[in-house]
Amino acid sequence: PEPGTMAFPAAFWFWLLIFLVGAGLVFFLVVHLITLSDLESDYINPVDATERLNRFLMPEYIAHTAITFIFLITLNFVPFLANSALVAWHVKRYLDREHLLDATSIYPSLAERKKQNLAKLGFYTLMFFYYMYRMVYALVANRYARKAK
Amino acid sequence: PPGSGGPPPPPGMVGGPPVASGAAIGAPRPGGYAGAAMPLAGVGGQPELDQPVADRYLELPFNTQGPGGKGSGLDPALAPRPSPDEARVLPRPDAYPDGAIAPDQASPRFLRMTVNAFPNTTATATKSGLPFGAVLQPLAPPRWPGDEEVPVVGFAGSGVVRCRRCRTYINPFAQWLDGGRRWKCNLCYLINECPTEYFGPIDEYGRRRDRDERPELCCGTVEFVASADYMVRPPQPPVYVFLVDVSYHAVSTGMVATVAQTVRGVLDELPGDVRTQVGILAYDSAVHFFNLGASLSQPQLITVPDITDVFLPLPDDMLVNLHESRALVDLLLERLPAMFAQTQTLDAALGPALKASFQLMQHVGGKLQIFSTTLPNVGEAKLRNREDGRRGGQPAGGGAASGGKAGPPQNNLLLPEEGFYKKLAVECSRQQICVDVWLCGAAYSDAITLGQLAKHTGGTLYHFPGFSAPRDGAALARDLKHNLLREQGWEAVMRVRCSQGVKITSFHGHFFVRGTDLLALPNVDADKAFTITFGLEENALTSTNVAVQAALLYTTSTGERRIRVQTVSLPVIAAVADLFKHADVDACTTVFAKLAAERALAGKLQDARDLVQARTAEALQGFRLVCPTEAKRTGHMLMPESLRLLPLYALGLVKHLAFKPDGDVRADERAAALMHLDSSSVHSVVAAAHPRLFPLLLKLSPPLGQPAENGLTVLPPLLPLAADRTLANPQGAFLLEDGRQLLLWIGRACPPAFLMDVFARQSLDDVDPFSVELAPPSHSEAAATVHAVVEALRSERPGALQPLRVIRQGAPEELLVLRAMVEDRSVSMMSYDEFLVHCHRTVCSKVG
Repeated sequence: PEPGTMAFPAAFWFWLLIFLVGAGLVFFLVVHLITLSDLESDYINPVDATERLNRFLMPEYIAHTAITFIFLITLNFVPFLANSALVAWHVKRYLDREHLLDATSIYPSLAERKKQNLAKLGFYTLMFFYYMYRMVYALVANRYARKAK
Repeated sequence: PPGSGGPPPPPGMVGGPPVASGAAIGAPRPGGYAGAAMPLAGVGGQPELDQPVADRYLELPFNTQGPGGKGSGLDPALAPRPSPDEARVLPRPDAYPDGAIAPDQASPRFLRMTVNAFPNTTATATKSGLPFGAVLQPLAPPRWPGDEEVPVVGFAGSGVVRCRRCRTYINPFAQWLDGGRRWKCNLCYLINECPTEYFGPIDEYGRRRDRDERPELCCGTVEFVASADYMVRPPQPPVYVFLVDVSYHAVSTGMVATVAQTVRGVLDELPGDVRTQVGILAYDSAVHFFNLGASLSQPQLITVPDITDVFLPLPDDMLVNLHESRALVDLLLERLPAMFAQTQTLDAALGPALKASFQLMQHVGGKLQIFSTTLPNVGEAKLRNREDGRRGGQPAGGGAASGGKAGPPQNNLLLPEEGFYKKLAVECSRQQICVDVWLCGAAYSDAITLGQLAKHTGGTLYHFPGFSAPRDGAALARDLKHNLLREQGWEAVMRVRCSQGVKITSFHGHFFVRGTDLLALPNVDADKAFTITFGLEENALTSTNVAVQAALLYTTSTGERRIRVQTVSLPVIAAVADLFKHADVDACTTVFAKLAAERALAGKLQDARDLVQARTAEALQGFRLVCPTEAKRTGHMLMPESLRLLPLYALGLVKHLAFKPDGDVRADERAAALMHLDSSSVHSVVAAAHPRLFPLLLKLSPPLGQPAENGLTVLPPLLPLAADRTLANPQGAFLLEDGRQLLLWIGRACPPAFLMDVFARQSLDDVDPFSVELAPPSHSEAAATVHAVVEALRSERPGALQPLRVIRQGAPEELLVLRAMVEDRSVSMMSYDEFLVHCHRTVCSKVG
């Protein structure tokens, strides 16, 4: 290797960042699901639960929309298309003002929310593994390419 | 084989003339089918349905001229109408298993089921099309002879006996095993040990021998005295705080004077004891506090002009013990109107005033009454006049308030605007503060936003549009007195449990949901009702009985902690026809009304109307499915006896102020009507859907107005709510009662003899209708009878129906009476017979 170059390729750093954001999204969603299940078993009251959940909601939306946009401008179309469906759903919920939770109406919608969040968790986890794959590929593929040279 | 190839049977008798004797109902058809013992397929059965066939039903023939030519219209005289007992919303004994209301079931005045049985599978439930729910009114007062007091049970020693797993209270339907040493919970089927102090022998039927001495084992409604385990803090004293708007409009319309006078008059009767506390605040452009410390000789006014950061000027002495500071409170109420009589300010800083009241009460909780005339326009949480520029609450570009889609939230007048009030309501609920909102302004008051304060704290929204003391003062005083003096429970929570396999799918009413199936009620009063709907958890129920138990834990006004428990046990049945036998039309109507009110309060008014009509059609469809094929072939409309009034009540709901599509209904009125329906009892909702109209131009003498053998007063016969048959007669005089108002309609050509007898006047032409009064009962027999009838009606509706208002034919207030004429065709809605035809067509198109 020539002196002065980084040991890791730029693509790796990019995918590492995405991987960390993906991990963060999975974390937000797990917190969300745990809070909902605490609410159901009466370990937390609805006012505190909604405060906690609403704190994490906008960061999740913003982070997810940001990485989808980054995918678009870096021309990674596969993850862009996969995530854009979820972005569209988030936008719709934002416009309908349904995204934030309300202490007075959280119980009736509890079962529905749990189902939605489980589905989102499945999706985020899948994408997380995809990001991890891309990151490792970026790391490893260059080594092979260099070796081949 | 029965029914195959016999001669076509004669048309059944239908709802008879609307006179007191009650409607005659179609007798079982000749060669009719018995209910339960039906062969499944083949002879006489319905092979595709696998259900026994209904044996009794009502048939309505279509043989008059209708929109589709001859034979498609219904003679209005044949349409079903309520008998006087049905209009009184008395529970029908036929609807109950065993044909009678059993004493070991919770009394229907507290817990009324829409169907007194449970379907065994979700398929049966959907096929029947019936709503499965209940209306709970835990503190319902006795209204009829035979309504008993609730027995109170104290459990010394071990405490209240409850199931170990699901925490159900011991009830008459628990099974006793092992000679009485163990009992099986009828909700979760766990076998519990019986505490030694509670042990009693059982008889040969497996029932406790001492059940008659123990109310909790023989009465479905019972009240336990709660021990210290049931309190998170010592029982709170009753606390009453009054927050009064003292801006220009409030004082000039006389609201402040009326409120002060009324409160002053009831200070001695306020529910409570020596610990009762009272506080008074006022607000206009600033917040005014009153020092009522017992050591002062007169009340002291302290004004806090800085409304951006309101604080309490004194640490205490603004919320004082009523007995210690009685003289001061009295003096303040006497002087309050005069103190602000010269005010010219038009500002109202309600947001800061609410925060101040919250700070004042948060350590103890209690009732907060807000009297407002002006839309809050300064300080935090001010509201804007959303109705400006829109006629009757519809946005300029098309009806979002009356259209189907919700539309963007800012444009929809049925959605609350400012989040401050809802957040504050939730905070209040946590501190056990219940808020009642009294809106007395003439202009738009954004009732829907301010109503959030009442809705989530278990309070009430009162609306007196354009309040003016000479006209509405008596009504406000009556409502305020009733609100303060009725039976109430403090710092309450309610939990509803049901047997395994059944779950509660929704709650409706004024409360805050604090946990799964747990409702927080800072103050629960005698008029509040809560509605629940049931669903099956899995597809099929394996047990033969399902139990529902509602428990209200509350503090009485004298400081005792009590638990009021209502338990019902219902059979699980598979036959749809039997489900219809057990249906209760009043409870079904109430559940529809509340589901629709919830839809409307989410901004979707058209959806709300569609819901009522669709659910009615579903129920009728479910019944038609189980009618014999012969009857279906005649093309007549087939209705179950128990639900024959459902279309009439549904039409009344759809035409009610809360749901009607007119642009002339103002947003505030609609919001107040919706909130009233959302939190009212069964008899209030049915009265709202179908007001009672009585003729007065008959011989007004006993037995009218006197009690009959069943203890109920004999009332004049009910008339159909059709203007062309009643109000078209200029010589008539009619009494209309809709659960809240009592209106006396007098025709233009009413006989002077009648006027002389009842009013002691020859004519009412020159008299102000708001001040006309009935002649005293001693004046004539007719006057005495009218008084007796009015008193009987008033005793059926505690706290309402005062004062009696006289309306002359042709006066502008006649609208109040015309609005109640449910059976007439109106601008956009069908008449009763047309609605029946419409229902029939919808049902036939799906069933055939």
